[in-house]
Amino acid sequence: MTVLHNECQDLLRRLHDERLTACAGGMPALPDLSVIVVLSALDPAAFVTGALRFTLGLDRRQADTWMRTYTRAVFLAGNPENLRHRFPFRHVSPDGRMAWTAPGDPAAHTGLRRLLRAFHGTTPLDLPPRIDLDVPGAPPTGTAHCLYVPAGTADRYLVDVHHTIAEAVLRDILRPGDRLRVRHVPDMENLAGPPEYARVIAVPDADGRLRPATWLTREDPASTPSPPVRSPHHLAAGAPHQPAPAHARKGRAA
Amino acid sequence: MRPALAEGVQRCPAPDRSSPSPAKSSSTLLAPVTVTPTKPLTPSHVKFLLWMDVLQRATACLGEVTCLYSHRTFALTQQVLGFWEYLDRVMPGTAYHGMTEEEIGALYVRSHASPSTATAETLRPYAERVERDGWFHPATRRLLDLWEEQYRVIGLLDPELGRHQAGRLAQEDVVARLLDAGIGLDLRPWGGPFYLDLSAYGLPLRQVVDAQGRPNFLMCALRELLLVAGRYDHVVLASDAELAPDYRLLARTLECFGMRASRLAVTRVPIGGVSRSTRHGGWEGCTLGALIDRFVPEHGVPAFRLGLRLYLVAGLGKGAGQSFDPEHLRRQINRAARMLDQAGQPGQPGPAGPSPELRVFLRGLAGADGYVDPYRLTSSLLSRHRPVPLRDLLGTVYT
Repeated sequence: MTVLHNECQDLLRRLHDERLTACAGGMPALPDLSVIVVLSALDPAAFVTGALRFTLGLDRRQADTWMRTYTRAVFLAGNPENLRHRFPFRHVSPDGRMAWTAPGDPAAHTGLRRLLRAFHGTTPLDLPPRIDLDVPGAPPTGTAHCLYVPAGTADRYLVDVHHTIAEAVLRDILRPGDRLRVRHVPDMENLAGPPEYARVIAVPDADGRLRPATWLTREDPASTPSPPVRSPHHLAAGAPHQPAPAHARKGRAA
Repeated sequence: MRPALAEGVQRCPAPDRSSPSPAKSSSTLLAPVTVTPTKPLTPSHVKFLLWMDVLQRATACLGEVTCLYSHRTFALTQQVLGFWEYLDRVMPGTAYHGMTEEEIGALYVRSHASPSTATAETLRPYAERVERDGWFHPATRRLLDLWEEQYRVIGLLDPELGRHQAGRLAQEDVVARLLDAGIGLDLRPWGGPFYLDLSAYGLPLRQVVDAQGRPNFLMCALRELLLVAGRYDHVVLASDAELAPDYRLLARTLECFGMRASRLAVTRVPIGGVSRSTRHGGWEGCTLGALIDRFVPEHGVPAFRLGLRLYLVAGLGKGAGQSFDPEHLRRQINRAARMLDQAGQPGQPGPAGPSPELRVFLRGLAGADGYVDPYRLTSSLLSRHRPVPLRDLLGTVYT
């Protein structure tokens, strides 16, 4: 996919606008509210699974308010095992190396922010080419999705993948029991489409041009995903997944 | 003083009490931050050094005291390596052996005023020479020669202070020990830094190795402390007040390894109402060399030594409110001269060590941490209401 191609830009702009509608839903912006993710290590499979479990575990009020603040998350370096006796995490990964707080305003997270530092990693990640997992919480549904994530640094990976997982769950694109195939690809050229969801971000210093940071597609459950080959023109012609409005999202038990 | 400390690597995080240990039941390791040899000694530095000197001499009357103070410890920090790289880049081939401390100090100020172009790559050769050979830049070697002369004048217990090379662990051994103890956080696999992680104790994460693998001064200190501190009953960590938060982390780290540690923070001495780092200048005319030139010819060495201690340890004390005042120093030197006259020949400790009276007196000034508070002790010299074993004190602690 040539991201600066005009037709692709139209699609990316549409995906971007859909996100704004799906998150804020035309309602007034909420005060600063975020989730704190504490990590002592970055294991991609554990991270994706943790993000799924955390998001699925939010109750309806938490899910709605977090969605309206664009699923903002702050990634801090820290060892949850050293902190869980003092801070009420909403979810802790089974290996104890990642933890999520409930969405909260800055005052709710002052203690953690004071103790910890941003999780910064600038080395290109050594990622496995593929991770296959089931969205937890229900027996297999037979539905499969493929999430394309480009090679990059930890800083980029954390932000892009977390937004994608959180918003795809909150928009009922990823449901419990679905199969999720994560594909770590060298770049975002020649992506299969149309996407159910894509995280779209601005290209730095490119006059408002956009590029996909992640790309989530629906897969035929009977087939193994083939290498993406479709052209930008095909992508541009496809109809992306229509998001559920914010007020119609399904609530989830804690 | 204990002889040079042996090299060794122990991977077990528990304190090593099976290795050669002091024979006496009470042993103290005094571990001050070092004054980096990149600048002249200002009143703040001299105050700190004299606090350490009084503490060490007085506490040594009650038990064994070892001072861990090596200029190699912090030579790997950016502050030192960056200065050396600046000198070689801006003025290559300079002969430093004839320079004064103020001239070198002026270069230090200039280096900090210049935009830094040093990178991990340009500093690496310097770090490797320090690590491999104990090498110091000629400007630093010149300063250390000047300091040694000055230490002899002011009567420091060890005039070669800092020139001995202490043993130390490899950086990766410290990393392994911190991780084993659950107080390290390693983001280097992802291109991030290595943190000292004492968040379980409510203390903030502190970077000790940056993403390029460069240590900061805390890592430098840990390399020495984790090797030897477990051999002592008690560790006194001393710093200036600005470093107190980091020294709190050091103390807690040692406690995580089962050691007893306490902290002592000495406040800086403002000059002209301003308390700031030497790198910003403003110390001209107030360096130790300048004070020696000004007062020793007139008052003599013994009165200068004692007067300097009365002023910087007791007079300025624990607060940081009073600026350095040469006239106040002069009054204390005059007072010291009168005290020395009254005391007669100072009492030197005999073969059996300090007199019982002196030990009893000092024990009364030692806190629960076992070391004698330099401020309380030196202030006692000025007390008119409490009997003081003056001759013994002057001969044992203040010569």
